[in-house]
Amino acid sequence: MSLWRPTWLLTRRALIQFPRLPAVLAFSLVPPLIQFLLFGAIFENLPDQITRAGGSFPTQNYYEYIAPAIVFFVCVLGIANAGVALVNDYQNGYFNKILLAPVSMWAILLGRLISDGLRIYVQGAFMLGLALLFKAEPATGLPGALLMLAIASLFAIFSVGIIVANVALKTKDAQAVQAIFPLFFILIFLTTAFMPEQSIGSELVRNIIKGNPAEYIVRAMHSLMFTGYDAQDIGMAFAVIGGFAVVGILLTRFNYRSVYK
Amino acid sequence: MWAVVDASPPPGSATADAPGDAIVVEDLRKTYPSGTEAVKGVSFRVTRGEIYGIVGPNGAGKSTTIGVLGTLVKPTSGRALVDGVDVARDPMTVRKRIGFAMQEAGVDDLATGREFLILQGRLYGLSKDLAGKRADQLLRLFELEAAGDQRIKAYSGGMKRRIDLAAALIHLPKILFLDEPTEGLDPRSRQALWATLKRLRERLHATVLLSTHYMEEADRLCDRIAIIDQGRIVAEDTPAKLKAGMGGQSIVLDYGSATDATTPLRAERALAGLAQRIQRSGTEVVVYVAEPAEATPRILKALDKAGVPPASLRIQHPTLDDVYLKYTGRKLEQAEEKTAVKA
Repeated sequence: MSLWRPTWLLTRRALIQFPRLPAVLAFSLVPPLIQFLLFGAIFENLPDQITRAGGSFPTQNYYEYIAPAIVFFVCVLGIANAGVALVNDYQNGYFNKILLAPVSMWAILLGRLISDGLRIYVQGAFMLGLALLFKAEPATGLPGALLMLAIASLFAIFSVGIIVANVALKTKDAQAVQAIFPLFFILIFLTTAFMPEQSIGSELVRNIIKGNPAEYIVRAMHSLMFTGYDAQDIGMAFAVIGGFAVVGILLTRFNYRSVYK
Repeated sequence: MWAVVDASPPPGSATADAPGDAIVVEDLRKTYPSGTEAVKGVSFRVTRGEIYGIVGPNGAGKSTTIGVLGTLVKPTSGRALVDGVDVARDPMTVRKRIGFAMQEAGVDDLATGREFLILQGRLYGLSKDLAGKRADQLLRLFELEAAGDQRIKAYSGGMKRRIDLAAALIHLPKILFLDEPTEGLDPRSRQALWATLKRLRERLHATVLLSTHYMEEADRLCDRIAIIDQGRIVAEDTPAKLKAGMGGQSIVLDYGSATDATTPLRAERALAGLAQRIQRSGTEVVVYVAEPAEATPRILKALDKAGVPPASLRIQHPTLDDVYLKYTGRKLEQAEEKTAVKA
């Protein structure tokens, strides 16, 4: 059997089951939603204050500024479910049941990641739609918004998704998977997602941000939101995604052995 | 009911019976990375259409052996062929030809029974229509028709076992592996599953390899059994021949739990020369004699004289428990207790 047929069958299985897991949907939507509403209200006047103080801010609408960050947050938080779902399958014996079928382990992983990827794409779109209510409109229109969602979703799949899937394969322990979630919050917060670089006081933090691969995803999303299609920013984002994909595939190939006793 | 199942083979499965044995295991060994030697040179052959049982306590190496044959466990050395295919060299082909129901039912709790079976069938290459048709037939066969559209999460333990077994059969495998198929089931569900397995064997003519630690299960279901202890096969034959090898009936002297630990040993010594064979197992002493009814008064007299009369006595036909005791020096329950203490 080809790789794609079982991958599609397992993707479809997860897509059918998502509505049966309201907690998973809530977990990846509610915290970003609260953050969007809360941060938007608290820092509403920030662009104005920074501009008056002689600084620059890419938009006068703070909701618009954090909209890409919230989409990114939804995607990163949402894809983490892939690891938990794999552990659940392992613990209730279903993972071994699929392994006993003539199906490649790549199909099992891809089925999981693609289904969660599609879900976070839709959830991210929901957040962007909500942002429209706060007059946060992408400068690149609908195509740019779709590209923004694709960049965030692909990065989430190939970075966080592959990492949690590997932790799940290696440990078979939901707590171990959940224990790495805080790292992803740090990954997001150490970017310019919530504050422009020039407004960040600490030089150390600015340097860390420059070294954070997630920053290049945020930059591309900001370009699509405020200015237009910046080839360099978008290219850099896809280079980061490609890098994670290569490392992730090699890591998974290495961990593949631990699946069989 | 099985007769109505459309038995067209799934893509990739063998279409004709290859001659020879369905399963060949030669000097199979498995040492886990932790250093545990689970299987220490196991060899056996299973003929096509046979129900073959691997019997032994938990931790004896049953699940590891069956796991190797099902491609879930990689062997350290030795050779295992399933339907003529080497499990280590070509696991994907082996998977197409076997059905496997694990010790813990491997089911998808969020799916309905019907969804679970259809997906399983499609993963084995069945078309959507055929998978749906087979799912309906299997739900009927396993008496799960009414629960087919309920989520598996709501199923009882017995129902989960049955849907798991149904999933193992969706592609009509030539060889079926059942790892402790009735573990955790109540006696009624166990009897029902035995009846189902017998029906399947008659109608599907599949080869079945099952592992169990229930001697009664092995006795009732299996054509031949291998008794496995501490990673090695210690006896192999038909249940009838293994029991016949024990001689006639035996006298079981029970000293009860309140007895002195040395009493069974003293009883054994007192009976030296009066029996064909004597075996101690916990608080029991099993005495093998040609004519138990005639020998009993003589035995009781000798025990009285030695000051070790039993709390109770019974005469029994040989069972597979006796066979296990003969080859391992302890009863199966004791071996299980020992394993539990180790764990």
